[in-house]
Amino acid sequence: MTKHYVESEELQAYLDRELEPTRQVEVGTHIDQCAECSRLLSDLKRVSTTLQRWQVEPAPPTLRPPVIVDAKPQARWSWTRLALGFSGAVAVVLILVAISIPNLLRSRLSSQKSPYITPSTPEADRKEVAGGSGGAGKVMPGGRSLVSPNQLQSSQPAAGRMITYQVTMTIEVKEFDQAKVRLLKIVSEVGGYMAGASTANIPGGSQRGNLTVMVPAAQLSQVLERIRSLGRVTRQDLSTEEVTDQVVDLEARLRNSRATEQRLIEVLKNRTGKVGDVLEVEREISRTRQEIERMEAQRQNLLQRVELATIQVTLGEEFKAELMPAPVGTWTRLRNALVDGYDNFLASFLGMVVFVARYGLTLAFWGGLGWLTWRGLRRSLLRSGRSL
Amino acid sequence: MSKESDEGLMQSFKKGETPAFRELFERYKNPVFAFVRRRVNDAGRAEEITQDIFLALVQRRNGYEVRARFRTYLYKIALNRVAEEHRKRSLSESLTTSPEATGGGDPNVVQQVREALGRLEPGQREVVLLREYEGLSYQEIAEVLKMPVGTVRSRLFRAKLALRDLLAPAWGEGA
Repeated sequence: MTKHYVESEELQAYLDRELEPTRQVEVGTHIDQCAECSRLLSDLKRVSTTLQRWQVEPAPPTLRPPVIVDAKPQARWSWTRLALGFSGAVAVVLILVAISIPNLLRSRLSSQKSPYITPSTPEADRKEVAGGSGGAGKVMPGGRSLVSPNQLQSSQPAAGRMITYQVTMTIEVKEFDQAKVRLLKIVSEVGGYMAGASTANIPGGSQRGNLTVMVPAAQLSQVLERIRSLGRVTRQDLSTEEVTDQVVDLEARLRNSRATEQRLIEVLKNRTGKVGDVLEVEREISRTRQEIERMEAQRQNLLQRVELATIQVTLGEEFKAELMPAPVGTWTRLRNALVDGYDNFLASFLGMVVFVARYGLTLAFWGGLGWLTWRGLRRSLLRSGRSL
Repeated sequence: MSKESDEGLMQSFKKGETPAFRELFERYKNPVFAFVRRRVNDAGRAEEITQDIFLALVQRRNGYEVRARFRTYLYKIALNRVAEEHRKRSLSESLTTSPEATGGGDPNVVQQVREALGRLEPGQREVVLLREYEGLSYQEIAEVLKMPVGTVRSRLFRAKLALRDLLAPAWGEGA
């Protein structure tokens, strides 16, 4: 029997003359001696012959070479490309400058203002308002800045800029309820509303409450002036945040997502793919819509924050001293002592029961073992003493 | 007829010589059309795709590297274009479902060949088509399909064995 040192795959390669010349000769010699390989080779040849029976018609005479409009070699840097590249670079620089100039101007203006903010008194505020001098400009983390109330007039949103305002005030008033009613009246008169309230009675009989109100940002200065008249302002902070970039960014992303959604809908209309592909497109549309709704909500929220300023007012009544209540009688004190004694007895008894239930068995075991050991030791000592 | 190699003509074409491209077109219009025709059932569509392939060759002439073989470069473009066509047509067409007979030969044998090829795994079928009809070497097939030469060799052999079994009825031998 012929020794089989030729791999089957080599037969096809031999047929295609894809072997190394020496290997081609070796495989050829083997095939001459091996009936099995010879038969397989014959089959492979026959497959190729049969495949060649499928011939296609020549290219139709209507097939013409494509018209070459510009046969010039495509230079890597043609004048057109250079011009386009230069224009693109100039456009990028202009955009960067356009973006950075307002920021530079803003930072310069900010640096001119005094970085100063203090809890203000009504008197001081009135002086500042009268004087019309620029107030604070303390920049907080996250782009927030604290400004004094009088600065509000000059920091109203410039055209195209969107700014949110948040004011925190602490006011001491004579009558809490009366001040609260007046505050709500002020707010409702300018078309605002109360967003939250909490009140508490503090020892001494006075009341204290935190009220959050929303008022149109355009009338914030006027509203603050009226709120200050409720009592003595012990603290007032005003923080602002510019959200122009956020709104612009959201609107750009919204436009992109809407365009994507439209394209996906077009794809779905002209679908020619498998069911899986169609479902995939539908899933993508659903995801895009959710994203659009989420961004729309964010945008609305931002716009609302710009439109309405938030004022958090803490109203505290002035301290009112009261007489101490009458002392407790002797019989009542004795009765209270008896009740306390009974409670203590019951608690200690229950505690003991619980202790025994929890540790009794363990204590009995170890105590018994210790007692037996001690007794054994004592007896052996006595016995040895006697013998001594 | 020009004696210049395909690669030389392509280089000349890159330099702006339009006649070099015409020569390449004449050399390859039939092979490329046959390549497309065996993969696309509609003759009219096959002609359009062939036209597209040569157009792509014109547009991508700068992407052609001197060291690359022209044939593999051309068939890579052709393969991508046909794959794009199949994606557009959602693979609704196949070798086995064509109602339209192509070429000469005994129609029954041709149909059996097409059916047998259609039943091969796609990877094996492409290797067989490139070898048997386009006449590419193992190395060229490996470059076009981006796979090792050893894989080409083994796939081709397995495909041939499968075809032997599938075509046995055509030889009148039964199973």
